[in-house]
Amino acid sequence: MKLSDLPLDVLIQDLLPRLPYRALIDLSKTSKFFYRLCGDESLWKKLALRELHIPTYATFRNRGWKDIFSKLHDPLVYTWGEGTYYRLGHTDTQLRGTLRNFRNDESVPRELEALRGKKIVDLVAGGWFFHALDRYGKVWAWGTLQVEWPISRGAQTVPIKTPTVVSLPEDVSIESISCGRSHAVALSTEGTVYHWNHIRKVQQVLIPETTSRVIQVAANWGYSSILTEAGELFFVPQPENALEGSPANLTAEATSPGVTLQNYINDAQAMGQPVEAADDDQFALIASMESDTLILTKKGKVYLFDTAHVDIPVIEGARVEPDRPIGWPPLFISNPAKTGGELRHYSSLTHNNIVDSEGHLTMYISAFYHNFAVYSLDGVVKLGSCGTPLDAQPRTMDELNQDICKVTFGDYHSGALTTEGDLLTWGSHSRGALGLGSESSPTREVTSPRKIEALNDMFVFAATFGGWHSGCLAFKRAH
Amino acid sequence: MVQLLSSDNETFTVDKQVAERSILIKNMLEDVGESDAPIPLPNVTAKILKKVIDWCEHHRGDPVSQQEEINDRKRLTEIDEWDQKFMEVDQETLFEIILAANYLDIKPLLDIGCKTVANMIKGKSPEEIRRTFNIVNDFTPEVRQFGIISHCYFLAMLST
Repeated sequence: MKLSDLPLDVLIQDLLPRLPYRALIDLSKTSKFFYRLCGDESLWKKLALRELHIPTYATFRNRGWKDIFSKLHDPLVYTWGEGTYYRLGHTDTQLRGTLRNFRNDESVPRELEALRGKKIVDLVAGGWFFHALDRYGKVWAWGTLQVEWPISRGAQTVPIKTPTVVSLPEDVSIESISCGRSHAVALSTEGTVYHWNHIRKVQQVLIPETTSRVIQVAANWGYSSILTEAGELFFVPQPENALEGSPANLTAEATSPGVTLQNYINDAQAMGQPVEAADDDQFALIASMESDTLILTKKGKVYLFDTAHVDIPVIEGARVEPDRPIGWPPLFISNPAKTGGELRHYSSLTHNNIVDSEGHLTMYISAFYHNFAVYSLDGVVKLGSCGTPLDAQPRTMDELNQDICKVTFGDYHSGALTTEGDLLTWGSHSRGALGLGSESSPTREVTSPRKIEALNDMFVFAATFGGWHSGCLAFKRAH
Repeated sequence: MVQLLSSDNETFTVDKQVAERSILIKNMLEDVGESDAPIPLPNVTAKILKKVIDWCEHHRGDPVSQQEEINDRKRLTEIDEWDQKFMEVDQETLFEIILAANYLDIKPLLDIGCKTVANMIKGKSPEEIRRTFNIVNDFTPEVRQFGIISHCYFLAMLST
């Protein structure tokens, strides 16, 4: 018996992923058999996620990993759209802008040169800013956090004019990031969670010790949703406003106990609502909106819960000078059945596990502000918003019936990334955030997704929209 | 106690707890219930079955659902001392153990087998890998040339 006589699934799933990529390349050069074997896509996906530290939940991509692996070692970062609050990060327009256009808007994608060579693997847009994750687990930020807070109190009202590294503890390496309106939340490779709305005042978020490992973090508008391996959902308000110069609180605590699918089922049954859920099902993936959290379960069910109620004090005739953002801290759900439930027509029809036998995700969700998308391997993208009734039929678009690996939303503009590396946009002009240049006008809505022609020479690997701005990671296409 | 019958008709008597390290056997026992009849394992020879039982005996107390983290770089190829000694066998036997672990569904044993093979590949040149595993180089000279070019390309792209 020889090495090549082992079953292919053992070789591809159990043996080869254990090799560093150099050993894999050496093995691929020994014979035709191993050359073909080492070209397997699922293998390169695993390698890309491990060696390049691409966040597992950042994309739904199931093809093209081998090609990407060789080129993604250092992609270019592009930003465009509204330029106020220095959110696009382009230094020279800031100079130019003071002369003729103080808005600094960009209506087509423009390379953010400050991040050239920084080996960025993921990009995430927030309310008035961006965050980027590099291969070494460092986080870069530019734009403005805490915009709404009075300058006298808001420590981060000072804009970050050019990409700057967030001050995380020295030995911490970040695996994935998510951004809300004025804060960011991050998960480290060790499973610890951090959040901040000031890049020099990072807080660690303490999760009750009895729980399993945190697998995902997702920022809502003024708070964050945190998901553990066992399917428990925790919430944490964004950090309190820290005064410049005052000592920062080093930790914050997530609300406890966590919310599970079982909590929902119990509550719903107690309220006499019909519930259809498998016994061994659990929360598996989350996506955060303004005050809702969209959840995908292991068995492909889609749930939408209003996860935080914000109490806005109404004082007739009096202007409240807020020393904290309005509605802070938010009140989190304790009875999920009261504030949401299953989006039945968005759920999978089968009860299959969303992770197939080869470790590929077969369903995926993403969301920002008011909008969300649910997509599956059959190629249909189902769109919805925070007001979507639980029994609503999903909204679909013909242009999105192709291999879409990411759908992303700004406040009023949307984008979809194809597996082939094209970026489609639609919605409001949003001061150029559609990236269509003069083809779109401020007064006319782009109703059906259109490809950004300015990126024709580029393979777009990741895209992120937020507020009135957009960003993407891309590398040059081979001709 | 459970009776196991190898492909070459040798019977082994083992503790139920030991036999149930194999998910295949565990499921079979659950399906058929208690029975004195030996469980036939037509894909495993007595020689290999004995090795596998030795391993299961030693690891009988291990927590069952040990999930191997393929993303954890440190744990990709680390093997503890007892298992290293256990795997000091000729290549033929090593592959037979991997095959048996896969068939019997003993994930931790499959992982150790694969780690052992991975460690035999790591750090070797293509020629050394060929010699170690007796692989015949069936590339044409042109492809060999291409292979070398693409290797340099990869290294250049990935060196940090």
